[in-house]
Amino acid sequence: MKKSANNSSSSIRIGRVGIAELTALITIYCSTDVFLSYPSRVAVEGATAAWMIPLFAGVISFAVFLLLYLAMRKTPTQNLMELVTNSLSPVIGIPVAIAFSIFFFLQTAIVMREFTETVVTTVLPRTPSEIVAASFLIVVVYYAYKGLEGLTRVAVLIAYILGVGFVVLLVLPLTWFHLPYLMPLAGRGWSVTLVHSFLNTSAFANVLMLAILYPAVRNQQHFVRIGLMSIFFTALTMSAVLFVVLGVFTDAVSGQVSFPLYQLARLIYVGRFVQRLESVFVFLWTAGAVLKMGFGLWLSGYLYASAFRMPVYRPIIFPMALLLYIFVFLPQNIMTIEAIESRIIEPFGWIVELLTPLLLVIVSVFINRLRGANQQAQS
Amino acid sequence: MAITSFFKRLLSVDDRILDQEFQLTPVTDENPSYKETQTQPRNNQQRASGGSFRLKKTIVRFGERYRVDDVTVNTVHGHKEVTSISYVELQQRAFKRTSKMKKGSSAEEPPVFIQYALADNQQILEKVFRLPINADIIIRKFRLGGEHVADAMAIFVDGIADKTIINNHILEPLMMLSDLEHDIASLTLEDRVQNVLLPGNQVMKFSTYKDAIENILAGSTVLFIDGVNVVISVETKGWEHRPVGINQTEAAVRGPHDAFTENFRSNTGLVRSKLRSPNLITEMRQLGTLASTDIAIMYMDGVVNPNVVKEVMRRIESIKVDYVPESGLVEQFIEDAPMGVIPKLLSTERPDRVAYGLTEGQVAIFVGHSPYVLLVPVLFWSLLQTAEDAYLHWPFGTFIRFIRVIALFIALLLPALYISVTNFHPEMIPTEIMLSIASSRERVPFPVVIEVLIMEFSIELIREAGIRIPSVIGPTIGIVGALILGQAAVAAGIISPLLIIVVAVTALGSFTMPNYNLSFTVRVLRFGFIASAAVFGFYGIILLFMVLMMHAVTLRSLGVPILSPIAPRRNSSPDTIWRAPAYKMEVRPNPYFPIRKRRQTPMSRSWSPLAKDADQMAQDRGDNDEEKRK
Repeated sequence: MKKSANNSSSSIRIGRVGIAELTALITIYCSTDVFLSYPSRVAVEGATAAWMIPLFAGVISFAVFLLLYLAMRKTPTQNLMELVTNSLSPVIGIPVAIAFSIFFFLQTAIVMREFTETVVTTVLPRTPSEIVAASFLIVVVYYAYKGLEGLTRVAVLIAYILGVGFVVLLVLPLTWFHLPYLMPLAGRGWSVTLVHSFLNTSAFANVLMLAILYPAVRNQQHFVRIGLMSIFFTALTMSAVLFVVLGVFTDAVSGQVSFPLYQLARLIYVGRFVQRLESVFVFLWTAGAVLKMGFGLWLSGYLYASAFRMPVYRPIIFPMALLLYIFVFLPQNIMTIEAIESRIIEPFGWIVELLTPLLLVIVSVFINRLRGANQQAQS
Repeated sequence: MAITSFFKRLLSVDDRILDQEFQLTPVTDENPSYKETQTQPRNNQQRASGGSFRLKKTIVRFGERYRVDDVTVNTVHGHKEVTSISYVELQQRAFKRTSKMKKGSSAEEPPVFIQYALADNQQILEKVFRLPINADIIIRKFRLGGEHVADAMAIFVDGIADKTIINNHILEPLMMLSDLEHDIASLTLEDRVQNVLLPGNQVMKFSTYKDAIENILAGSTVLFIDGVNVVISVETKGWEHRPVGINQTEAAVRGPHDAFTENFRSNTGLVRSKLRSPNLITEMRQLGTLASTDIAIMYMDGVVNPNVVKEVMRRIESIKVDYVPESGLVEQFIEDAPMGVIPKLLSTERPDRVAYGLTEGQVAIFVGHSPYVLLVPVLFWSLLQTAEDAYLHWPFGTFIRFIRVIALFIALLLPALYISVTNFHPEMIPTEIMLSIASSRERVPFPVVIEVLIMEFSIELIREAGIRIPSVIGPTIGIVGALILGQAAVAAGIISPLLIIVVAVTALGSFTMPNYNLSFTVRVLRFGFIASAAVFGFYGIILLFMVLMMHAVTLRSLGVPILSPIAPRRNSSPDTIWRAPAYKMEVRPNPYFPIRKRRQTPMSRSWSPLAKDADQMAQDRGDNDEEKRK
């Protein structure tokens, strides 16, 4: 028997969210990577064609999202885990939910460490990392505690500010921009670019998130639009940042800079009064980081609670936050984090974010149809 | 017990509690019987029943009453004739019956119903009002003339009842004109008094002591007649109060200048005179167990979402308190998330703002003689707006609103930003300004935070003193304050001159807030931002700002998210920071879920050539010409 979203097996009420809100949240979650070492990593991979990588990756992600949507649209009240649990078995559904929970948890831990180190290296050099991480954690716990509705609403408000901030940060350094830095157009060759584009789909967690949040969308007719817009804006943001970074620093230098967007902000010099806008950058990145980590922690807690059919997710947030604080400091230094990012998450992240949900949904739908056919034959 | 439950709640997290929070949802037909079940008339508007004798022969129908699908059905099985009895016999029976009634164990507990004997009633009232110790309550005994001579008494409170009305329009007709012959054969004594003798415009009958006492305390004069178990209340309210004056806290250049005053009925009248609609409903309630206060809930029937009215009623009726002196207290009792600092209700002294809010689907709450009326639900944006914004040409209205939003951020963040820049991020300001700041701070012995706190505290002192100080020496405080803060502090080397500018601009920013409660919010939060900036600089400011954002987006005012229609996004007429032209404000604010969404036709400027194509204009002209020829 099908169950409604709010009376599903987990029966956790997460509220209903609108198109703009969810689009904003998922876009911010995925595109805040550009504040960190993402542009530097992609610049190494794609050389002068690095700015195309997010665009190609976006197209691939959208294709996977469409397949997923076509498979899921007949069960609008069930999210990915509920679909798997109801169609296959809780024996598969529960480990899948726990695995996703761990994935988002670890990703949040990595992001928190990265942002903590970024804060320490750029604006608060004499403050211990533990204090910075703890201050982040308090806000992040509050965000996760308030839930999806609150997160999406803050996202839609912040989206305006982030949008304007991004434009400012990308337009003002254009005084240093040189188009020839972006040549040759194909970078290290189309095949290399495409391979890296495929691997770069790991940056697009949009697909997995939308599969999890499908029943929470207020107007499910516009679900495709949310997917399209969030993937489009994510890809556009990443590509635009890479385009400007490459045009200002060249690909070789970009690959060596830890936080290229921050360096870009420091370069700004439009007359004597408009210069060194890294403080604006601090605002944008902290706002994006809080949203990203808050959503990550919430998602992790929600998935964990729904895996064990808990009626509520909020009590999970506090022990998870403590665990998160421990995990944040497990890697020895920022270089280890960079290595985890470039050697584990990027090459294999797409398996969790795209392949697994797609396979699970297709198998679930296939088995559902088989069952339906059998029942028809029996009747 | 309370401590145990407190700890129990601390240790348990139950999402169901959060789910029970009232949320405003679109109107459905699920609860059509709402008005019948919820709307109750004010006590003193209830028609007194059972108080009049029927001496004539009458027919009594007997049957039964039952309910089917919430509809009461009366079935009459038959009827019987009741023979009439003499007045004297009836009176004797009544005396016997009431003499067995409970007369109340203490002075605070009068019997439920009015007694027949005047002496009994007088005795009860003397106990209730502690007479003769209580000098305010006046009992005037007199004799009614006419066919049935009867003793009577009028009771009223000296100081709140109009003596001219009592003398000329109650005592004079009852004592001197009652002997005149009238066609009164078919009237009972109390009906004769009510319908023939008393010329007052509001004369009502009551049969209970509760109603009688409430009316006496509300300024009415209540008449007790010997042998009659009902009282007649004549509206004689006439206490001294301030006349309708001009706005004190919400002054406007363009627009009406009248403001609510300390008179309940004047306040409701001010709104009703502006909104001349039969759909404008005023429901009355009384609050307070020790001394009751009138509460009026005003709304536009057919526009407002019934769930909002229902929720307002539910919250107000659930207040159990001895006395409610002001609307500010009611606000605290009924607002969502009472621990927050952001206002969730709009208190205003402008009748035009209340009238406009009612047409948009809000509910107004009038509390006793408070000159501030509450409007619910409210959006955060409306706290930043004034009535004047709407009256001005739209570019000017929008401009003022932008100024106010900037002022909000200045009032909230400027001192914190100053601390951040000087302490943590001097690189972000041009070198010349940085040097200027450094040189101005050279002599100052304090850290920036202490410096800012001293100045902010001084400003708060001046502001508080400015309110408390008698108006005669008020301006002096301004001069003294300016002297202390300005020249003396700088000359003494305690404060840097730049900080004076920062604090002055911040103060101006907070004075710009059009809502008194919001300006308090800004003042309190400013200190939070100063603290966070002192610890973490920009980073701290942003973290606190993000916390504030999350707090704000999850706040509700009577079920309406206060940051809608922006977060959550809803399609609505542009009336947040951007003020569209009046003719484009076609729909009511969507977050209120009004029943009637549209407030003007899609083409409200139908005369304009821009609103029509050439053919339509030609057709209109043709029609006009034809009409003229006719």
